[in-house]
Amino acid sequence: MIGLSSSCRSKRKKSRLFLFSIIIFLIGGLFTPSPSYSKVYIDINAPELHRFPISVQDFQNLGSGKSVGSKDAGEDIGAAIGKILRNDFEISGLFYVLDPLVYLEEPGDAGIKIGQFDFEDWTLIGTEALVKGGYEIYGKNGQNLLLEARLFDVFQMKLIYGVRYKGRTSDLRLMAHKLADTIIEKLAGQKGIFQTKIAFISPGKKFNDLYIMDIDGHNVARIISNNSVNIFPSWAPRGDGILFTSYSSGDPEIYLRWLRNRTPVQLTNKNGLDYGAVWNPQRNAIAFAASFEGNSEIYRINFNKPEKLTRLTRNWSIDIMPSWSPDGKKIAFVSDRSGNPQIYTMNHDGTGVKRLTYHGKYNTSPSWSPAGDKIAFVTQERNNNLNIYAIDPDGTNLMQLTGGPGDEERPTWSPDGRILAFSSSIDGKKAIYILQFKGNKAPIRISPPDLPASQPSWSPYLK
Amino acid sequence: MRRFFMRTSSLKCVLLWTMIFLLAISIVGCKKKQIRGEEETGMMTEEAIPGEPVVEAEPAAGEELPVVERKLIGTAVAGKTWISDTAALYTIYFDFDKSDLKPEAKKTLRQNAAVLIENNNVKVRVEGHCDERGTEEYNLALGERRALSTYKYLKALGVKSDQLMIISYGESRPEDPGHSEAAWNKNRRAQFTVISQ
Repeated sequence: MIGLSSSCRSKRKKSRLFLFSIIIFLIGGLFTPSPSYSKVYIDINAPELHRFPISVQDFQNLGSGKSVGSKDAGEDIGAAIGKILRNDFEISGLFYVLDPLVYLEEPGDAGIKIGQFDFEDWTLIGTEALVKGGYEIYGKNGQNLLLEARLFDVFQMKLIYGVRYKGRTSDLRLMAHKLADTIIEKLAGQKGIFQTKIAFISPGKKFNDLYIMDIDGHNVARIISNNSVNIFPSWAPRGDGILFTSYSSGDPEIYLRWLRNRTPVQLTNKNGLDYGAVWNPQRNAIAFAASFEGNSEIYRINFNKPEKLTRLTRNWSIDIMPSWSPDGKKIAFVSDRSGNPQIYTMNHDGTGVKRLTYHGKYNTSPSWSPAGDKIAFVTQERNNNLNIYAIDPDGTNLMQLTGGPGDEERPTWSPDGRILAFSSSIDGKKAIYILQFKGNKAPIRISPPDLPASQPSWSPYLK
Repeated sequence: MRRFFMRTSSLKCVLLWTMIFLLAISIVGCKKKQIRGEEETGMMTEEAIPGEPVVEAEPAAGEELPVVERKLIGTAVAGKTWISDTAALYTIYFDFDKSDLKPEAKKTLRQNAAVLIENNNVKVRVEGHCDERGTEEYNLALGERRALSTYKYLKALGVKSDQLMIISYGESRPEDPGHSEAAWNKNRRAQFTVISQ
């Protein structure tokens, strides 16, 4: 195409080759996807977690205005969704959630799609991600809700994720939590935990009732109330039921409360105490402590044959509080065979007992993390305060997680292994708190302010 | 002449590369715009949200519920359990974190044993309790130890074992709900409850 003199011939060959390869490169570039949704915004495995700045604007009413109730009710929904999302992101420990007070864009001044608002309003305040959305109430009596949400990368000025949910207005909180979980998955590569639940007891003067609630303390549902002491809840591995200990037949026995059935199933019926049941993640064994043979030992039963007990510990001492490793091969437990209570581990058949804790004179309540790399537990300090600690299953890397006045008990892990819930008692007021395992933020109370709550158990992923 | 031609071809080379460069820019630019448009129309997925899974809950607090626990006559009140119009059993107390019997406790149990032997048709349950310090699950085991050492001593004094049962409530049923040493002292105890036949 270009006339070249013979003196350029060698150059020409090289040029042609070079030209050819450049053209191939450009053509290839046409077909490679642009670097978009595979970008990792939050690296959850980083040793130091940098909180990712995010803004969540209250959702806008996209409807024609014909919703049930007054205009106020409609505005409440958009604000409610914004509040749930911001609170979930705050609890997750992954984000620095910008306060709506610093948003430059006035609510209602701009739309929710690209081109309908100015990204500069958001880059100026330092947010890196932005959630905008809208809702519409429709259907008979306004019972249906449409949620439309968009997650934007503010620096690159583009949409990361967009979705529409259709459901019932009464499931608003569920939809908002699902959205939070999905946004967390898009940004961090791991699904959020806001559709999970916490089981707990509310201690009364003489009796304890068993409850479940959302992670943000809403949707509190009482599931056992029988004028009796009900304690030590722990979830079934599929999240469809809760094991607990009850005095309703006189002695403490193990019961299973399927969530869909108000009548619990009694699993043990022995003299003495039967308590502290935990189901292994493989769903084929339940371990618990029982004292019918003279002193507390740990036993194992299969759910479909609860009358057949396999004894795991053989010791004159108190052996109690089993906790399964995530692969079901080991059990952490408490024994005072050394003279005072300490944490031990053993194989699931009772062999290979190893002592884990050596500090202090009172270590109890082991809880094995979902990844299997840590065991959280409770230490009684010299001044009798109870604090949460963690240790590796080989006994190294002892870490103190709580301190100060008040007693912290019964640590339980979120299914993503990032958060611990526990009960805290200050001046006798019992409430449930959560704590980021990584990062040094103060614990946040999640149980409702007017309900005494203790002995939390965190559900597995439910959806 | 050669030099002229070389210069010409170099110039043409430069022009060629510039054209290619500009072409590249426009292709990439086009692609970006194209994708942004795609994002807007093709990106929105839609999901139907099934409702919350059914949880059968208990009725709200305030409703009358039938009492399920067996009726207990003769429960401990202020350290004393009447088992008849004239006879009573007394609560005994323990030191912190201990389940062994103190001398005063043994003295009280000697009295209790005499009462139980005389009223040998009465069945009682020995309840072990703890103060609120320490973890709840471990306190259940400690309470049981307290009930057990009480039971063993009574048996050694001649009380028939079929008159006695043991149970532990750990820290869940304090005598005194306070948070002082005085309250804790009252809560570390073994007390007696008459069981109906």
